Amino acid sequence: MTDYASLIRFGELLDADYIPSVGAWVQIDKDAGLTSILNAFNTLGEQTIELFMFNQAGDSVGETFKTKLATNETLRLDLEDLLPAGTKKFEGAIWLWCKGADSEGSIGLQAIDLDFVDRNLPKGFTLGSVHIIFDFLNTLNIAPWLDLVSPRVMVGKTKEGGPRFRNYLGLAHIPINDGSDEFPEPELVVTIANQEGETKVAAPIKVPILGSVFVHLESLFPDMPDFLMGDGTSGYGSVGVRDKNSNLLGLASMIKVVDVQSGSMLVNHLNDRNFARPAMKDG
Amino acid sequence: MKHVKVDPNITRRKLLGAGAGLATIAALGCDSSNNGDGNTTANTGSGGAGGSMNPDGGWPNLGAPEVSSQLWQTMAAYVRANADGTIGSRVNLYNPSEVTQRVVVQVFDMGGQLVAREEVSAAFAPGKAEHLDVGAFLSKHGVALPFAGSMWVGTTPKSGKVFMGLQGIVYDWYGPTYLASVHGMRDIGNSNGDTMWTDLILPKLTVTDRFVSKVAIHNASGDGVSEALDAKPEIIVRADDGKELVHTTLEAIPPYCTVLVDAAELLGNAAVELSSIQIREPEAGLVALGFVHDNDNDGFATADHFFDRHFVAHGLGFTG
Repeated sequence: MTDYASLIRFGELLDADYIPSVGAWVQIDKDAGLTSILNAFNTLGEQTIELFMFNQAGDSVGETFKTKLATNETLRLDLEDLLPAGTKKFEGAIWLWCKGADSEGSIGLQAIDLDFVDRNLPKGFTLGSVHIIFDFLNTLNIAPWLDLVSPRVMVGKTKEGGPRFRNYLGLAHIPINDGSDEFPEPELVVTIANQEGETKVAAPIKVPILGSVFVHLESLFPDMPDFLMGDGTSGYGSVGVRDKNSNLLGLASMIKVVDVQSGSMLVNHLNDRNFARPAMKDG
Repeated sequence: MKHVKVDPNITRRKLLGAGAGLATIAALGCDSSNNGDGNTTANTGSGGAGGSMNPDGGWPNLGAPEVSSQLWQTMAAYVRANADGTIGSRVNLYNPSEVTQRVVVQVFDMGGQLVAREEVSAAFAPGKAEHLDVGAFLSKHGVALPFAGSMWVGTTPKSGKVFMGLQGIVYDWYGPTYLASVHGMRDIGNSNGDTMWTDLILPKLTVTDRFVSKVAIHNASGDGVSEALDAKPEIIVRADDGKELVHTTLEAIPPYCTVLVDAAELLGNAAVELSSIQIREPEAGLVALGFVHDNDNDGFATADHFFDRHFVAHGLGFTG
């Protein structure tokens, strides 16, 4: 069921000139020692912050975390601490809304990232890290509105001959509409391409309003290892995400590639095709 | 093509016109001898994170890099590769645009010397991906391994609206234990028009006995759209409450050079679990990467690009 209370609050925050940054996937499992740490540094004037967590069904979890951040301060949040008492596991998205106190602006996407931590591993070690971001602007005004890409997923074999890499795609819905009361229902089309330029398209994925998915790519493309395997032992591919209906949609995204052999991982947000620069212009 | 004039008396970075072409670094005095001394902080270009990545020399000097306002550069401030393939870097390229793009890869050593250059594709097709292993790329170009330096990927459409640029370029590091990755960055510019051209931030630094943050700072000025200038970056490390722990200025870094800053040395080997770092340069454009280095096995546990302070959100619009 759609979390209308959060939608209404988000509308209020937008009207009040807050800027959101969204993490498509965080994972907390207290018993397993897994958590996610948010880092945010403020170079601007005082920022007012509200942080929300949503489970994958799109329901807010726990109380909204509210704070203020002075210039040059760092916000360091173990998201585990924001879960309601008794909740041991969480998987979903986070929203960090920021508003600056003056005309210089909001920290927004500027200096906010997520670290994925396994407390069983030595202190100081981080499994992976990603800048949180979302697609909410089509800077070139070219269709489609939503057009995210990752240039690298991987397949390979372990020393024992098993699959070496597991590729995951995290996608979190961001409601954007054209001023009407309705939000388009997210229905996302995921494609993979191999190095020969051949493409496969998966069945559309439905994502609840404010919800998210964290999907093993092989579950969308069962023949992905064969499709991407170049020399018989390893191979690469790329991933694209678009909206099936070309609706006005926003999306936060993340790609995670786990090396089963070492336990290490690669984490990136997807890149926004529309976040491009016209030729011949510098920033 | 016109040449970019390198004026040692330049005091303010300027954007170059559309016709800007080749730059020369010969007159800038990049010191490639900085490649050999390993794990150094602050004021010299240094080699591998563990001090083992650089040979005594032995790679080509290709002279001037190809820079042009027509070639949109995306940079990794630091890449590395060893000879047996257990440590390496990779660049992943994908063309998400609707037009072909020319792709040129250029590699600089830590001292700013261009050691490898290749037009990977004169017409990289829409939807096409490529995954270049840095070690294999360097070997193909006669560059001795181990190697540490920086990599530029220049892209341009033959026609059309967009550069592949930052959208479809991701750099990875591997071995001997870990994988790490960031998307490519460039010096995008100072859109706020303030007095600080480069203002980069990483909201975390780690210093434990085993895991130490290292920061690669690459002078990316002279990239074809902006003037080549020496850089003297200011480094500020702060505790989470904003208190300054370190405030220092590095010695001059010529264009195309990279220095590696060790957070432990920067902090006087004080154990600091988490803090933040800011890099500022009033005139030259810099690109920076942070790594968490595992002292036990010379691995990069994670990698992070720095954030640009100028990339600030106003309402639903951006500067940056």
